[in-house]
Amino acid sequence: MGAIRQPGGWQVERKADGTQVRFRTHASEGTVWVHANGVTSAVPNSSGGGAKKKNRAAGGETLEATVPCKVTQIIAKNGDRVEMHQPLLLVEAMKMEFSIKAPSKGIVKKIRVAVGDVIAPGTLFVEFEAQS
Amino acid sequence: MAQKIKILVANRSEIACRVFQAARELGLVSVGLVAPGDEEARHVTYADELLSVPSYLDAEAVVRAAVGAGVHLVHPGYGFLSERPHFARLVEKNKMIFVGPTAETMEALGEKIAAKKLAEKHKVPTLPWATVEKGGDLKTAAKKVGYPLLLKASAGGGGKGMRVVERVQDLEASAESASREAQSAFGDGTLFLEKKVDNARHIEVQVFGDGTGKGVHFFERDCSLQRRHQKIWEESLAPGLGDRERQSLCEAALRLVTATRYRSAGTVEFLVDPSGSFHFLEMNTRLQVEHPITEAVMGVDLVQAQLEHALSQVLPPGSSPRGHAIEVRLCAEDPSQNFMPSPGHVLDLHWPTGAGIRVESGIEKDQTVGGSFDSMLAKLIVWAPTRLQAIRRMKCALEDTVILGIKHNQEYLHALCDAASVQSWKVHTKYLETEFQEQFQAIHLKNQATASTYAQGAVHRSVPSSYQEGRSPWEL
Repeated sequence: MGAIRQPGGWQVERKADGTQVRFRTHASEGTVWVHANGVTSAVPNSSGGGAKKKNRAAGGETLEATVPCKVTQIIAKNGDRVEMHQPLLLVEAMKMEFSIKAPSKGIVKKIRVAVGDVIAPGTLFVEFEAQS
Repeated sequence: MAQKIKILVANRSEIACRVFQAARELGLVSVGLVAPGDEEARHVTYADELLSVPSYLDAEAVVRAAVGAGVHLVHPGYGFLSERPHFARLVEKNKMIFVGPTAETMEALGEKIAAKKLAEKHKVPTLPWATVEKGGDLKTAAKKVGYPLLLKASAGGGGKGMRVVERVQDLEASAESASREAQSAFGDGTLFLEKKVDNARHIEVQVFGDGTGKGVHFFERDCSLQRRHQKIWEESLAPGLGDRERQSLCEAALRLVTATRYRSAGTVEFLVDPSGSFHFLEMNTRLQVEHPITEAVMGVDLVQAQLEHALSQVLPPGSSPRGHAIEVRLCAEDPSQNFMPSPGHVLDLHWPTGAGIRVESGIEKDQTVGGSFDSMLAKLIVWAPTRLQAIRRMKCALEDTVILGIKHNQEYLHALCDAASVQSWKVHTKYLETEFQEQFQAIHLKNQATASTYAQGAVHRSVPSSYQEGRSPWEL
C-alpha cells in the first residue's frame, strides 16, 4: 500500500481506480490509533509487544484497572461466591461512578484495594477465581 | 485612561475558553483558574491572567483569589459553582458582579425541589414527585410517586447523581450510589424522586431576564439524545414541534422568568411525553453547554449578552429563528465498552473547518487528559439552512475531527448521523441506550476491521518509506 505523507499530518492512499483516501495513524504502546473512512478507531497493536494485554480493555467487566480511577465502595467480601456480572466494587473516573463486575461465576479470593485508593491503570482490583 | 475591567471565569476547559473569547471581544481582561491535575488544559494558557486554586469547587478560595487579583466580574460557566447561591452571595459580598441570577433566584429555582413548587404555583405542569427526607421513609415516598421512577440530585444537573429505579428492591442501593455521586460532583447529596415517563423527549427553552420581571426567550432546543442521562446531541429548533406547542412552552418558560424576576441567561427544561403534553423538569440558572446552537439559529451571542447585561443592565433584543443547528459533545469515553471513561494523552489533534462549522475545544495536542475532571473534550456545532443539510454537515465535520491517543465517541456520533431514527427524529431520551446500542456495535465491528488494515500500514510506515526512493510521492 503506497501511502503518501502530506502536510498537516494526513496520509493519502491512492487507489488503482484513481480515487484517493486520506487518513491519519499514530502508534503508541499497545495501540495503533487510526482515523480512516471518517472514523477514529483504536486497534490493539499486536506486533508492538505492548505488555499487559491479558484481561485488558474489557470495560466494566475486567478485574484490572484500564483507566486511572478512585475506589468509592467495596461491595463484595473476600471468599464471596458471586455470579457473572455481579458488581464487586464501585470506582469513579472523570466524575462518573461505575462498577467493576465479576467476569464470570466464581470466588472472590482477595480484594486488593480499599475505599479512597487512587488506582493506576494495570492495577489488579480483585484476585478472582472463575468457576464453571 | 480608565482602569480595564477584569473578569474571572470560575470554570475550566471549553466553557472557560468560550467566556474568555467573549471577554476579549468586549475588551475585558480575562482571568482564569487552574486546579491541581488540570495544568495542561487548554484554558490555562488562554486567559490574560491565571490564578491557582486547590479546587474549582472551593468557593472561598476562588473568591479570595479573585479579590486578590482585583477582579470586577465573575462568570461561573456551567457546573462547578455556577448554581451555588453561597458562591454568588460570596462574590457580591466582596463587591464583585456575579454574571448570572441572584442567589435568591438560585435558591428558588436552581434547587430542583423548590423549583417544582414554584412551577406548580405558576401553572407550569410538573410530573408526580416527592422529596427524599434524611432518615425518612424512602419506600413510602417512592410508592407515592410510583415505579418506574428516577432518583435525582436536588443540586444536580448533567445527569450526575441520577438513577432509574424500576423496582423497590433496587431503591436503597441506587439511592446510596446516586447520593454519593451527587456529593462528589456538587458537594450536596440531597435527592428527590420523580415519576419516569417512557418515550419522552427533552425540550428546553432558552430565556434571558433583566432582573425586574422583563424577559425574552430564544426558542427551544431538543436534547433528547442522551446516554447515562447526559446529552450528547442537541438541536435547535426542536424538530417536528407544532407552533401551538412551541408557543405554550415558551410562554410557560417566560412565566417563570417574570415570577422570579430572573436575571441573565437561563434555561427551562421540559419533558414532552408521547401525547405531546409537556412537564416542567427544572430550570437551570446558568449558561448551558448547548448554548451555541441557540446562538447559531437565533443570531445572538448569549455570553456577550450576559456580560453586557452585567455591566449595563441591557436586555438582548429578541429575534427570529433561521435555519437549523446541531451540537455534539465529544467525550473521552468508549461507546463500545458501555461509555467507560477513557483518560489519556492527546497524540494527534485536528479540527474541522469549513462552512457552518464551529468548534468549542477544551484540549490541545500533547495534552494529558486526566481522570479527575469531566470527560467532555470539545463540542462541535454546525449550522445549515435546513435540518437535513445540518445532519449532513455534522457528518462531514465529524469526518474531519481527529483526536488520536484517547478513546472517545467520534465514531459513535458519526454513526448517529446515519441512523434512520435520528434523521426522521423518531427518538426519545432512552433511544441511545435501547434501540441504538446494538446498531452501533455492528457498525463498530465493521469500522474496526477497516481500521486494522490501516493500522498494519502504520507499523510499516513508522520509518517513512514514501520519500526514500528519491522519486515523487505523487507517482504511483
